[in-house]
Amino acid sequence: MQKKLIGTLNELNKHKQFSRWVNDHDILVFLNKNKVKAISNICPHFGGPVGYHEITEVNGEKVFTCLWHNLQFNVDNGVCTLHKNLKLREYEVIIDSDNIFVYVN
Amino acid sequence: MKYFLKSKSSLKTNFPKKLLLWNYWDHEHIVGTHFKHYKKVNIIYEDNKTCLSERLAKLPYIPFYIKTTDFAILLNGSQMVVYHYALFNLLFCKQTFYFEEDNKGYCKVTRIDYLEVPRFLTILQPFFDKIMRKWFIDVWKEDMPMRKRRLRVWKLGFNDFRGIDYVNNPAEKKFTKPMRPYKLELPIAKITHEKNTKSGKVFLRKIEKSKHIGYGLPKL
Repeated sequence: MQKKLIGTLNELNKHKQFSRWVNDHDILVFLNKNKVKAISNICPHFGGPVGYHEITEVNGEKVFTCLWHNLQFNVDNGVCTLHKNLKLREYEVIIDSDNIFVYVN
Repeated sequence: MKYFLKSKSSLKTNFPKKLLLWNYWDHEHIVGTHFKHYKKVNIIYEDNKTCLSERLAKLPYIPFYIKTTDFAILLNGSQMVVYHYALFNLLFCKQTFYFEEDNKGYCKVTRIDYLEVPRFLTILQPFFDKIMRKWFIDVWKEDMPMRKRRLRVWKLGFNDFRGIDYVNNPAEKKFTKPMRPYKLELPIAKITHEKNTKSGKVFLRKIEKSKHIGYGLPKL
């Protein structure tokens, strides 16, 4: 696993989320319950961008909605709300001063 | 005698023909990628060459949603035709699409639109031509990031309904094989429709208004 810079806290603070390609991984970085989290931004359905829209709340559950086909993923665990077998990978995050790093293979 | 307004639009892009056909035959993305213009799609029937659907669409310069009935036929690997009916069949439009791929990986898409009108409305020909060309370009612009991303994940080893193995599993090695030819199987399998609907497969827009974060920040 390699430690890679994915962005800065300044970039994150703008919309509370952003995505970027690092080492052939498209990673969605976001603030959840005051913690910086990182999950895969690639929808396992057809490959759409999970973090295109900002987080919305559906029936009390905070979700990301993939732009292409509207599949929704719980922000806490990355599990698809409609098909529980579809799950977004979570990446380990390290904050070092203003920089956000992730571990990728 | 029948009278038709006619418009021809054409653009070329560096994507494989099969990927462009995937885009046109992925009827679900209408309420996703094009969520600003469509809020419901009901696929009544679909097979590997035809699709009958109903859509709630906001057409150019019409400020409200109208229900359209759409019948698409893939005549061959390079040509498709779509018949649209709206406003209790008072409005009839036919669109023919041609896909021409060259040996350098480029594909040209040409769309020819025909709208049936009474004779006195044939004076609207310049206006029809203008809005149909604009519509073609607007939809093309919305679809381009989708095509580009689809090709990118495909090159990284993406499998539908599974994703990318090395992304899902950190123990997996990266996909290093040379470019796979793009595969298209019709009809495209669907999993995002509403459950418990009586007829067809109903797809609904999930986002009314969106703060767009976008496709991602540029590379560092």
